[in-house]
Amino acid sequence: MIFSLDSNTPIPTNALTPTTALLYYNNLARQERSRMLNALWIVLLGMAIIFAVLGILLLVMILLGKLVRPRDKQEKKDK
Amino acid sequence: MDIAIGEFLGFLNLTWQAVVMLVIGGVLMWLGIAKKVEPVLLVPIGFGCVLANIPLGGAAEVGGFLAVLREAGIKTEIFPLLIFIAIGAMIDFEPFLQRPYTILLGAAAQFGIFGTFFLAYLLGDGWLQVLDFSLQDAASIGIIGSADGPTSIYVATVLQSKYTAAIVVAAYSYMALVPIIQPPIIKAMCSKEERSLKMTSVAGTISQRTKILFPIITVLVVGLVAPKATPLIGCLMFGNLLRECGVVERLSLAAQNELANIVTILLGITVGGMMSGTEFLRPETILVFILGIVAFSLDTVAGVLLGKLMSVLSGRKINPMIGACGISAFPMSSRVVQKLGLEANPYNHLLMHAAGANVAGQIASVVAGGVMLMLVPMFI
Repeated sequence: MIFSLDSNTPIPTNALTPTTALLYYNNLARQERSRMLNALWIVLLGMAIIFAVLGILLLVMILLGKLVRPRDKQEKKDK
Repeated sequence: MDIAIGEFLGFLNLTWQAVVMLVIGGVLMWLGIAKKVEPVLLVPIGFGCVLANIPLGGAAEVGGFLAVLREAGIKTEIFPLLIFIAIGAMIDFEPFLQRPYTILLGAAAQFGIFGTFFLAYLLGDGWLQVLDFSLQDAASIGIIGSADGPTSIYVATVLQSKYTAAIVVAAYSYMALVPIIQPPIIKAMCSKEERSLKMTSVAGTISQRTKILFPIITVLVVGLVAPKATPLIGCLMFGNLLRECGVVERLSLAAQNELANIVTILLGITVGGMMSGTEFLRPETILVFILGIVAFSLDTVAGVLLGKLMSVLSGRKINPMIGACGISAFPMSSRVVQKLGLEANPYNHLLMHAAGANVAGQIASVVAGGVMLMLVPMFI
């Protein structure tokens, strides 16, 4: 009989043979590691994206400062 | 007529949770009124808490006015976005525009959000499973580190966290506690010599044209790279454009006064209304508050660390303390740094430099909120 188990459904311990128990708990440990790795990715990617976005904004603002200021000086001279 | 007295007398239906929440509501109002701690927020929140926990009152139950406000303003994310229009209209970004490099301090100080998220998830579903924190809950708890109430509400609501009420109360309470949380960390990380480092004032003012272009460019840059942050940054910058464009003064004043006041009243009382005893009083709530302090502390540490690096790279022209202002608790954080600077050197005025980092932190925290909203669904 072919059947599947949802990965979140705990299996009663007494239903496991020694071999399937080993596989089951190894799988659980792998899932935990995978969850924490995902969390670590969120931390790393999150900080990287923030620095990237704000870095671009910084460059644009510096560029804007250089583009806009000369015209202000010109306006003052005209006055 | 066969009517049980318990069906219409509220005090006969008091549970211990309701009593505790009534006391908490009272304490919040006392903090606001007697101690002047964030009164604009804590008074409505405290009163809403009292209303929500009066047995048989029905204010926070389905159909009650607090529940209606919650559905209309919080679940639709309208209240935090309207508040952002008001904040944008109130903030003068000139100190930041004079020192654009401070945006990097703002970016660094967002580490508290992600560090706390990791810790919360580790304690929750991620590994230890000692607390009922899903990935979404952990992200919402981490966002307390944005030191920004509206961002916290927005992210926690979009991610449908179970702890939205606790997160919002923690975010607003800790903003008021910045003068207590930050100084010991800054003093531990910066020597007196570093704290007394003077920064030269920035010559010249920012042109009107730059001030007008800034909100438009910011929305385009942030929106195109991190689109999930568009509603938050869009409302913040729309408010700022109203302020700076100079042709809609009436709208700008309305945003700064009427809009800000009305939405603050509605938001405060609605958040208070979310603090019903059965939802609020659980062990996880206490952990949310503890993790909130961790978030603010990590923000400060990360900001000061980048401040130290920038200080070294600039040849001691930057006081590392201003890194602590990358946390967006504006203007409390700037005042803390100004005070510490004056304590170390009576002629050391850092307020405008600190304010630059502080408003940069406001932008960074909004971006961080958007980034969290972008990343979390990818990993669920």
